[in-house]
Amino acid sequence: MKRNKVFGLSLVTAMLLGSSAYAGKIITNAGDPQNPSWTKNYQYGFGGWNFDNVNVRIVKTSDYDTPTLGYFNTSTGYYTGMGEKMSFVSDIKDRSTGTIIANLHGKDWPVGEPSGVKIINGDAKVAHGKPENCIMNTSYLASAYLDTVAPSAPSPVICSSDFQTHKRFKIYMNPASIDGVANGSYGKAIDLVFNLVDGDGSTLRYQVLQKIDNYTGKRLDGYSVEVLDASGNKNAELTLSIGLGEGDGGSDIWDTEDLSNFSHGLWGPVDDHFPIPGFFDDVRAYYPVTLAADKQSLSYVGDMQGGNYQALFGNWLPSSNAPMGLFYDADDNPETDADLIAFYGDPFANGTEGWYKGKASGWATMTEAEVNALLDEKDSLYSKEIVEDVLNLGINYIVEVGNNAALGNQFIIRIRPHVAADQTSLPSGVTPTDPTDPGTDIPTDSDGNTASSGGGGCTSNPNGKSFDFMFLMMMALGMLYPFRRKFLR
Amino acid sequence: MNKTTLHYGAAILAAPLFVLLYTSLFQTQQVNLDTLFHDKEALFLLLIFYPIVEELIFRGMIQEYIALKTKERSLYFHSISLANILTSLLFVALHFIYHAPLWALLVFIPSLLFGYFKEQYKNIVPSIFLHMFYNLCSLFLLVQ
Repeated sequence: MKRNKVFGLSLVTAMLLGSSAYAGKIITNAGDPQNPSWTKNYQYGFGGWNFDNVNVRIVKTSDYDTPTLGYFNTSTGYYTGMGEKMSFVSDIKDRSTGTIIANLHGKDWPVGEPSGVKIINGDAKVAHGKPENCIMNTSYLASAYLDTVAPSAPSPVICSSDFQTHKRFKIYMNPASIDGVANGSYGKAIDLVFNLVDGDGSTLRYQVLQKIDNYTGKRLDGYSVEVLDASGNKNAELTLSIGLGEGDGGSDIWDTEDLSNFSHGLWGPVDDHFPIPGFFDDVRAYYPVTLAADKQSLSYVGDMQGGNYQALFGNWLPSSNAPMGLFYDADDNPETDADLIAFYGDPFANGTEGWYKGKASGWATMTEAEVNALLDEKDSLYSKEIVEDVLNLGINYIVEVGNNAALGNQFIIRIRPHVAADQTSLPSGVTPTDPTDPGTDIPTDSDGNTASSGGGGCTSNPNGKSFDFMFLMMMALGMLYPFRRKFLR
Repeated sequence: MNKTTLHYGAAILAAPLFVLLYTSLFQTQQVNLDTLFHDKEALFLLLIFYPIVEELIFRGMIQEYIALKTKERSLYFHSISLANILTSLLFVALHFIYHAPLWALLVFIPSLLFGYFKEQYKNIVPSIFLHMFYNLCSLFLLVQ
């Protein structure tokens, strides 16, 4: 323990000394992100997130509410050893009352480590005009999670890491964040405070990679983000950006539907990353946020735009109203997302609740018996759980930090949920469609293979996600063809 | 134009009809064109790899082997050899592994066609091209 303390203090000293070389930036121990200075049991990217209103708990994944004996040192970034089925939760408190109003979470160990937020400075590999600096989740790349054995070191995710590498931390806004707030009003301030180094006055841009999740218990219809200085005031040295004209060749970094949206896998078109259309719709579901004239806040209040979220579910659902889903974990890996096969609901809003496959499958139905049969299979890869992604809004914005001295060497990102005025009206429902999706409308056998098949009559495995013994056998036999005459005698 | 060439042309024309029969009998996958071209590996396997390998194995080796061993090249049922029938039964059997039973059984018909042209032309290439064309038709008839 003593050794850890000495090491921790050395690390903090080195971090603070080193950070002066990054004048004008948020403090971090990350070093050069291309050659990360990773130390076992010390959070990578630590130092920038201020913990005055945060309590970091080490928990078991079976019970996120009850802390374990493990701890996270908010002064040094040291955390006690973790293992399988362990995780963390960072409670965010209301800065005036001390009430916990949100919980911040990233990924469970060994994919992620406490505290959930890290700072990366100077990631030269970012593209499309995005900032070289970012505020992001404390996760690691699949090629080297935290359980990686020496001499290799775990490989932290950085701003420029590939798609779907768990870059976004999640803020679960809880009922206390809207306690006593009237419908149709903004909720309480969820503050993320960041520590700055004495600066030189240059403006530095940070992309914030996060999601906000509705666990408030009420329907929401928007949100706001503000930036404030250490005193809690607006400051001309601190502004927000939504990337207009900041991309390559003066283009916008994000389209309107990219600024604030729900999971692409649920609402989104086919593209390079998603080979099949979104489960609920092939159109993004989003809030078209706008930046205030003073560039110190961005917000949106109103109906969801784009895809059919509003028609299916009404305003932004709270966790208590999230639909149940039937999921299929094709690779039997809990660290990767399982496929949504069906959800329990009433998509046509005609009072007929049941299990429905998605829009691409023509909203085909499944009986409870069919669902249970899949769940009851031996070593079933199916599971029944809430469709959490209908609660999670991914948001994109940039914070531009100016003269640090004028800011008090700290700044605040303040997030507020907006409680929908109408909490009772029912969704309007969607119109039935013809099936178009190749992935979800096919009955499957106990191995998850398709029971019928399209696209040729070959002996190949139509379920391309699993190992195909037939492929190897056919290839080996096919290679014997030139020598057939030797054994055809 | 000789009789075999005419038959080959008819077999090509029959390909879309055969695929239509399948689509009417089964709830087949609808393929999104965008999706399809994102999955180039599957496309390669379906249109190139499997037709070549399956023909080399079944028509190229197994059918020849059976024909040689039974010495019954002269035993024909309406121009279909015993070797072709036995090979096609084996071809169907392998399709049971990954496909629904009725679906696999229907593979018997194109398999007989492939085997017929292999024997008529005494060459594996026509049956490979025919196999590729059948798979191609199945793709385009399923594209939304």
